[in-house]
Amino acid sequence: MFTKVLSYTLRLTILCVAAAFALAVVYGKTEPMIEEQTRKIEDQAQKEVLPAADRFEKVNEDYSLAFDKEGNPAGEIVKASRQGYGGQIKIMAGIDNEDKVVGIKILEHSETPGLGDGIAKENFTRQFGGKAAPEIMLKRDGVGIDAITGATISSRACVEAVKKGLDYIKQYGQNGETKVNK
Amino acid sequence: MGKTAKPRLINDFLYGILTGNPVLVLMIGLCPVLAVSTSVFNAVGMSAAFAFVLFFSNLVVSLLRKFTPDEIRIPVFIIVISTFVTIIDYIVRAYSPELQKQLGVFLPLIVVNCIIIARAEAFAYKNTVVSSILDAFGTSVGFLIVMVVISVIREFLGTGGLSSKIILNKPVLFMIMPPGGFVTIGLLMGVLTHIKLKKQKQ
Repeated sequence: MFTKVLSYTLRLTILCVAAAFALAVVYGKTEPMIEEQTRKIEDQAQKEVLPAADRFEKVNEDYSLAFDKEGNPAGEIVKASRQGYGGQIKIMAGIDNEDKVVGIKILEHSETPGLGDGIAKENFTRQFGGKAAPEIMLKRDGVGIDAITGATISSRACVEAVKKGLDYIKQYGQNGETKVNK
Repeated sequence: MGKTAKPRLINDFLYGILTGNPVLVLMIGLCPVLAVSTSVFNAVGMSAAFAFVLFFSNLVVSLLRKFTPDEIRIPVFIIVISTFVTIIDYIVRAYSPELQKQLGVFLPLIVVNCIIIARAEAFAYKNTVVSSILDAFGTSVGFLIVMVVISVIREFLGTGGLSSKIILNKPVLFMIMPPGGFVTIGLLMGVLTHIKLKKQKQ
């Protein structure tokens, strides 16, 4: 009986060690690539949401300053997230020097395919362009953004995420200071 | 071995496609089928990840047959399967973030896919390495065929076209939601049963 238990334990231990070793090897190989992919996606997104900018300076994980070719401030990039219908919706927004939204991009979402995932499409996101904070709301709540038919929760969450980003800039944005410094 | 071995191996391969098709005949592992068969791209990606895990789980489980006493076989299967699921998760994240985004939680959830553990328990644990590999191939092909057929139907009717080429003006949104998946699977099962009954009559 005792030897049996010992033998089972030993076998499972050997197997676990082998599995852990295999995972460590694969993790070591793929981790830099995974990071690279995430960075690439965000770099690409930064340029899309703020085409006027040429160089980005990261202030923290969710906030970057943007500069044009001459080194003048070209706006800010902010990331924010909000609970949607199927999970967290993570957005990136490009904000110009007048604190107006230039463009937004959905970085992550798990909304219903065919319905809520419309928030990630051009038709929906381009509505945010040129709007300032008071206009960032759904049309059914006042003025602003047309919600996606049948996906009001997703649309509203996206709008609120953008709003959250703008609020962040209002509170912590360094755009004004940089303008003075440069 | 010899003459009788060949048809047996062919049978091992064909079992998962026809008589033991995991989705349409055994009706197991339906959750990822419903969730991921909304577009052809997702369906093929899921099938590839599934095939990878099933191949290595069958291979390793059959290799470890002598090493694994009956009493601890389930923990052994779980360790083997979860290791390969984690590996494929890393690989997909590294090479195709697009696919990772689409498959979402269903990629790590392959770990609890009952098709894979069923093949380990019912086949790989009792058969040779060669048979187990063929069984993995057969089951994967069977899974892939069903996934592609379902996703073609659902993507076409649900979004109005294939790979964003729109043909139908009024897509049937219902088809892309989970109930649409059930309906499609049900209809396919009906077609299959119909064919079977017809054959039996003849």
